[in-house]
Amino acid sequence: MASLLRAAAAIALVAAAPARAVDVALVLSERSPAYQEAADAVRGALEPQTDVVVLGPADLGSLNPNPPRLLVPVGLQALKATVDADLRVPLLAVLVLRTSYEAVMERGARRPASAVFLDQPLGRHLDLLRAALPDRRRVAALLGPESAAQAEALRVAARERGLALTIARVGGPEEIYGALQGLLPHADVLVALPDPAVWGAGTIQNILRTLYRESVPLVAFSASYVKAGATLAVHSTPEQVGRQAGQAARAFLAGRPLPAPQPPQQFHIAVNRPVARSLGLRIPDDEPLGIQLRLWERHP
Amino acid sequence: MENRSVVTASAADSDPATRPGGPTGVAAGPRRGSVCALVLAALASGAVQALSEGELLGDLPVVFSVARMPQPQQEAPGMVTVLDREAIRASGYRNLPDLLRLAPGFQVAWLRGWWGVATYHGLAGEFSNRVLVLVDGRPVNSEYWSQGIDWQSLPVAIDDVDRIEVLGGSNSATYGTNAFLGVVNIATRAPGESPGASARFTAGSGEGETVVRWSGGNGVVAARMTVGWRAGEGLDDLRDTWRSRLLNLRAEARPTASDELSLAFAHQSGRAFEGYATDVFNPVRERRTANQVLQLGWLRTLAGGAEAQVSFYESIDRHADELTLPLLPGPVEVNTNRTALRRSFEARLSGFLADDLRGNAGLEFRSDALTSLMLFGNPDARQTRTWRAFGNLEWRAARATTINLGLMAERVSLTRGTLAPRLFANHEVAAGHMLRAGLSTATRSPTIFEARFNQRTTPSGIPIDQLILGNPGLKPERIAAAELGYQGRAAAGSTQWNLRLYEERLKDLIVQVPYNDATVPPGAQAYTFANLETSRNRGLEGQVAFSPMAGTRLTLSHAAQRIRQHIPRVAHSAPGNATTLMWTQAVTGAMDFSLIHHRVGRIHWLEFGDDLRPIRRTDARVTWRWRDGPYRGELILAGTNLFGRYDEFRAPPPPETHRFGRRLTVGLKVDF
Repeated sequence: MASLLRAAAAIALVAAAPARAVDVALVLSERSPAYQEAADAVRGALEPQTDVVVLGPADLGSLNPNPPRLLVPVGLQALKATVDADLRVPLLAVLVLRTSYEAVMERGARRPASAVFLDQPLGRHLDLLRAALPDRRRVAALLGPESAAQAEALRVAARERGLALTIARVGGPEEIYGALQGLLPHADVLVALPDPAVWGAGTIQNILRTLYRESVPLVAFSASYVKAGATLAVHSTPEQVGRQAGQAARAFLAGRPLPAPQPPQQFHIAVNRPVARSLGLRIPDDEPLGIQLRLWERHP
Repeated sequence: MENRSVVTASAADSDPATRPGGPTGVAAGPRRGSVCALVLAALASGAVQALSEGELLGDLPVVFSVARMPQPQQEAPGMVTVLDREAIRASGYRNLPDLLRLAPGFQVAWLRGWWGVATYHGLAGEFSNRVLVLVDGRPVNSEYWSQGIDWQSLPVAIDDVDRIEVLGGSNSATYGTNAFLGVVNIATRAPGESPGASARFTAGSGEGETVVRWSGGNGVVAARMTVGWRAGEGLDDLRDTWRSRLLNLRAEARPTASDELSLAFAHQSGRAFEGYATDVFNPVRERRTANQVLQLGWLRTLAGGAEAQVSFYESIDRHADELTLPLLPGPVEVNTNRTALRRSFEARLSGFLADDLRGNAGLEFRSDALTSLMLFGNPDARQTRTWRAFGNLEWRAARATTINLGLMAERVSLTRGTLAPRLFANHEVAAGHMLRAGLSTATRSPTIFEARFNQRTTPSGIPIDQLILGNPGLKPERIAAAELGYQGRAAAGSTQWNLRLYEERLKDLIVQVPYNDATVPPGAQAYTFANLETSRNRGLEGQVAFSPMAGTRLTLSHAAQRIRQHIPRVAHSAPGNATTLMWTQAVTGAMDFSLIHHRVGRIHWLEFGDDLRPIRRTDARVTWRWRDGPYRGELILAGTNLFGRYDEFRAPPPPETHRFGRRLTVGLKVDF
């Protein structure tokens, strides 16, 4: 056990500043498993001879004399630091949310930039509920200050899929219950989008309880919500988005331009089957669900 | 419970987000600009911060019990250690006291194979009555054990436990008397959760069990039922084998959209060998227990999300222990049979009072009756009545600051009324780093035993020369505690800290003292109880959980403490240092193991306990899982105390050994 601890400590200490120009600099928001997994997946997808350095946001200054060919910030904090460092090097962000990336890049200096987002395209959430719960066509969404901007896009995505969508906006946790009371009579499924004013440890239990009482399933945006009692979610792991970013980085180093910012191509489907069964839902197995989603994305 | 599969969209696919008119259409064409502009407008106004990936990657740690409302763990008024189903599974432990070894600051000992004691910050011997233990909101500290807990007789199966929230510190503000040094809140699984059936069989050295569960329901009614049989060989050198069986039922119904009715019934009965082969006054004999509980609840959701709740429970604990003492001129039949009956009625309201203020308030009436010919000299029940009014408020004073206020006004008929306030402030100094400061007070009312005990003769009328007489003038014990806490986590939760630095001042501690008056016969020795002692406890304790890579989790718990008390055995009733290191490792998707190492410093267990040398103990578990059609199986190999024997407890000379040797068990669990 001691040697394992030593190994872990050694991993934490490896953050060397490069003495010469490298191909790729991976900037990690922090050295926890999620970021490490994404970084490992980026490296794993590069050509073996690619020169890679891994560093933290505070070490960006050390790149100044010999900037790398491509900067890969992993996480929002690393992305902000990378933009602030203003190295005028092409940038490929990974493990960031789409709205956050767009907000940060707006204030960033002009340079070729792209990203592989961690969050799913809105349509994929709706496709999942369409595939898993084809009878539930009245969709409700509870949006807070952070997610309100996605209302229009969500409406369009729902309309394209023939789903009836009702949206309620709340300013904070105290308004959630009232909003749900207004929403649930017109809905047979609730879709969640990331927003700390609505979704978090302090609110999830009460929301789930209300939904359970009304027999309304929740389509969430992360596996931990499914673990907490949401019915299903589509989500991507750090490893999946990391690999996708690594493939884009490899193409870039081979002389191709950076692709447009893109959502994850690979994803997992998480279903809380006990919750589904207690809501009286018959949800197909994960694999056919995934195949259905992929087919719809290819042939809308 | 969660099923996943990998789905790969071909890498050659065009990017749906950038394809005009593509299926997602979210970010396509001109709409993208407008969405973006909205976000930026919001950002410019300062109303919105960029969403961190932590929203998608993080866990959702929630605690329910500290203020009787769901709160993010880091915003709760106190340090809470959560043992959820995964932690319970990973530990391999099949007894509730053993699970408490994983909470920093707890001390656990088995005096018999069927009698475990768990206390927090010492001050316990055969009974631990300064820690409150609740099962689904119902206190299980029993008057017949002087508010201690007969863990093995609790009518609850480990397989039904959903989570255990352990609060390090006082919480009479929420739970009243006995929530003195710490609170253990055991919540069982909701009816209808994980529908289907499961069976578990465990056999090996030391202990065996068979547990069968069923759970099912529809949107209106849900139920679960558990039947279990357990048996154990007890400690190595004592005759203390035991067996126990239980039935546990819980059902919920939702007759309307705003009403929820709940019913729970549980029954446990058991037999166990008590006494020592070498002690003529405490000979080996069989004791029997039968515990039963009925719990009813009605919850109504009101306008604005407020909830009104009324609940009732009745619990009956029966204990039969009959022995023959070889006295002169002839053998004497003695029984310490007792029955404890508890009934409680509670009404509670909870909800938002303002945008940034929520809370709850309630009233409870409880009656306790204890019947024992031996303890009180006659067959009449001794009763206590408890009236309570309580409230909790959570005020989000600023975006990063939460203030928690709690207050309990309580009157226990054995003694005078008390007020127990609590004030905590939690402030997020940086994202994911929470500081906590708080003050709390708590009380422990005298037990029926301490206030009413009146043992002068055996039930057959033979005078006893060791008298214990209750003191009806006892005051409640009081504690005032101050703590500073820190809870921090990395964005993706790879390292989590939870620390507590505390000072607890205890006064009016109830102790047993010699007593003499005209009613004490010549030659007899009499004792009573008095509020005599004070104590000051200081310490630093906490837990660091670290996940250096996927599938690996290391949890280090440590408690360093000092009890300042002039009686050495009280000062040493908690170890100066106690450490637990737990390593859980997923080897493949179908196999994982845990290793747990405990190091506990010298302890002096009170009452008939003696100084116990430091303990080192290592436990391990390996689980293999498989799936075959509708069947999911688990094979569990578990070993406790893998290296050498140690004393779980020591009585003063002549030494009675309470040796704990190596235990190995094989378990099979099948879900279908």
